[in-house]
Amino acid sequence: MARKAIMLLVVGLAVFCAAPSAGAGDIDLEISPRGVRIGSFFAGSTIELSGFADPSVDVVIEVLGPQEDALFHLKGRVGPLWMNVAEVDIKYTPHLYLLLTSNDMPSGEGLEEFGLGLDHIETMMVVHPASLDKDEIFEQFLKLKRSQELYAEHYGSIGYDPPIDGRRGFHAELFLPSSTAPGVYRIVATGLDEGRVVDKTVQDLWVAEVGMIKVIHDLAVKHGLIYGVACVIVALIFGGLVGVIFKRAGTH
Amino acid sequence: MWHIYLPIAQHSVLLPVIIGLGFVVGLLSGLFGVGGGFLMTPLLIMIGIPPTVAAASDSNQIVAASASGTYAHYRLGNVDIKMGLYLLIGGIIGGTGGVQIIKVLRQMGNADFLIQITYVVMLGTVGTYMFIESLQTLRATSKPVVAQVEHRESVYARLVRDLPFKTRFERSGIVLSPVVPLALGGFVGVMAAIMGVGGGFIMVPVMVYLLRMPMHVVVGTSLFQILFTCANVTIMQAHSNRTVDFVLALLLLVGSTVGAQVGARVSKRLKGDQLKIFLASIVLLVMLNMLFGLFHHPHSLLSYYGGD
Repeated sequence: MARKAIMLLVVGLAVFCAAPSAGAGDIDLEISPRGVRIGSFFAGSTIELSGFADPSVDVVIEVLGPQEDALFHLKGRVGPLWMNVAEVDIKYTPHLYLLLTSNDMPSGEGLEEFGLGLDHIETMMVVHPASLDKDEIFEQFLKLKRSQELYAEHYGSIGYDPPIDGRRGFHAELFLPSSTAPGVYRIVATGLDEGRVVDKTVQDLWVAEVGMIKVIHDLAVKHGLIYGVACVIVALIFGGLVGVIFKRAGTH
Repeated sequence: MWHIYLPIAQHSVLLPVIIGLGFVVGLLSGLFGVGGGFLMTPLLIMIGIPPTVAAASDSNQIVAASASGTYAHYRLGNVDIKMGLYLLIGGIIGGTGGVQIIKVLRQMGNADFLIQITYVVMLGTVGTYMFIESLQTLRATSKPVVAQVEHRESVYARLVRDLPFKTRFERSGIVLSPVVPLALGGFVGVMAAIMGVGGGFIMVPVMVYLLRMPMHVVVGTSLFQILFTCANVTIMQAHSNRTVDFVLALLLLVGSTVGAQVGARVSKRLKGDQLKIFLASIVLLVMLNMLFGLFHHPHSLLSYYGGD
């Protein structure tokens, strides 16, 4: 009996020592709201992020959209003209990528070594054909994504509160543009302290179409032919109605 | 409040901008008998709509604008249904052939180059010819006619004259073999399929210069033909590519149907040659914009497949 008790004590101590103690790097992350509804008048959405971490920990937040594998045209010069010269298959990149840091980290330099930042996204990216210059392709990919507001870095956008009871509150706002696609997004808060990752917390954020937008999207995707015929019929009726209205207006 | 979300484009747009765009292009449609696809699609792309969605949804709104415009012109007696049907049959056959040509060219890897060059050459040729010809006619009519100049009959005129099965096209006031509109409709169909547009801006000059139809009948008949072409494209795009955004089309057609009616009324007050000069100027502007795009370094060298 005594032997069993000692064993339990040893195992308990081992577990206690191995787990990071509260306040020694643990990050609590809250997101509000937890989901985004895309309705008829959706024009983007603001998400509030907040939480607590150890005062010595610097928090970096990433928002990663669903994985997107897509085919692109690559333009190049043919004589004096800019033409599509190749097709490029880009895989394992997120549809959306937003990076938020505090004032303590005014640039993204060095984040890659912690598996963070745009450099890390490039590391994960697979380009086909492989003969293409991956750095150049990523640079062009970034330009395209940035122009759609889908990739962005917001340095210094995380604010800290004064520490209370050995914990420091942090807060940030992020804006999801209207081109945000439906799906499950991952919000990853990473704690950095003395040049190492001390904790990583992940929360899911869902983005979903609702109401008439969902009905139209589903009909277009699942019943394309019926949807196409319906679009033509409505257009014909609408065009005809306007014609009749103008005819009446013209006769009075 | 002024934003509305497009379910297929997956993008939010400003309501007044889309309705305004629809009105302007509808106005051109009613004025000139062109669908306006060559103008609307680049404008939609400029405001962030994916190119494939822009082109397909534009076809959908053209159905409404051309239905409204055709109705207005029909009441004015400006639609030659018989001629329109021959051109339509030719257009469908030519369009089917054009799609096959594009498939082969895509496999060879030269399709995009050919499409862009075809655009520039066609727009440039049609625009320049219409502009110069209309300007000359306007100048000639402003001076008193001194003597009739006798023209030698061209090879084309002799060929058309010698073709069999001649029939009278009442509305256009011409006697012609149906082979001519069938062949010309086929040619426009091939070009439209290669360029990915309804073909109105090619069809109008073809009707004016090769079929010798009166300008006001050309506008109504072109709209009649475009109505069917774009209805077919809308259904095909919705079925095959899922790229028709009904909300976008609906907003565009709110503006375009009204614009088409206004355009049809304004066109009655303008002379045929004035209309042609306006259309020629727009065609040349679009051509210059495309030419600039060919020489100008793009913002990003990457674009989504099927975009441009």
